[in-house]
Amino acid sequence: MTDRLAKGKRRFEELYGEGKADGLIAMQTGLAQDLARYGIEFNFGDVYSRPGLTLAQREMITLGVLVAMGGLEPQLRGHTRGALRAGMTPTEIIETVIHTVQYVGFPRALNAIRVVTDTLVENGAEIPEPLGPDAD
Amino acid sequence: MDDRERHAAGMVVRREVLGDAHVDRAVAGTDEFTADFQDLITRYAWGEIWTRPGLDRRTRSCITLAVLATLHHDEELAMHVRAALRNGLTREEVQEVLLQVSVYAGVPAANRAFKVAQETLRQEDG
Repeated sequence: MTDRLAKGKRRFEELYGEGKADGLIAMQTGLAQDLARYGIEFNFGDVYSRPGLTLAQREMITLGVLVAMGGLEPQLRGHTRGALRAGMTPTEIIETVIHTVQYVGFPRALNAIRVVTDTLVENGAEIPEPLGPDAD
Repeated sequence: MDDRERHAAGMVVRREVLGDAHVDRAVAGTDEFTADFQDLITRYAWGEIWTRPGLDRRTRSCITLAVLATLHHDEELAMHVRAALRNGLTREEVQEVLLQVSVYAGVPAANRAFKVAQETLRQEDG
């Protein structure tokens, strides 16, 4: 195993639990497993293993990118779980999606916040009350 | 808060984040055609979203850079690289955000974003 793959697996499993990196690769078949391995090597062995940002900040940035691209519900679910594991609060996770609306527009932000909130609830997180129109 | 107060609150945040020079140019460039749009974004983007509690401005800058780089919005990205520095992000943190964009949004988006940010940082150095 390359150092980068080993490092990537460690980082990935910090977020998703023991054995999950091999599980991600095993979800693919034969030659296609190389793509999943690249994800562990480059995303987690290279980028996520760098100093300079916390794991929570990295999950927040990934959530922002996923919302901006749109149509990536499985990844949004996965990184919402990762964000919780990295120590982001439900408020921070939901506010991350709310912040994107001015840049990505309402349809993408609304679709994303449904998926993110459902995932938070499935993982036992409590969803804070709305601030409402007279919050400040 | 009524619309005028919301606009005023938004303008304070907008100036703090984007800087007076930028906002003065935007205000000076506003005419009848763009006035309603300027009012809307000041109340909505700045008076509502950027003023929400729950995330600090450094954090909001991180998310903003990631989103703008992903969407290839070069001009807005340059503006928000400056804003990010004003909000206390380091150059290294800007670099980390864009590196992460490369593996999630693809190399072309990050490549573009690195060029824009590099150019902006050089200008900031004068």
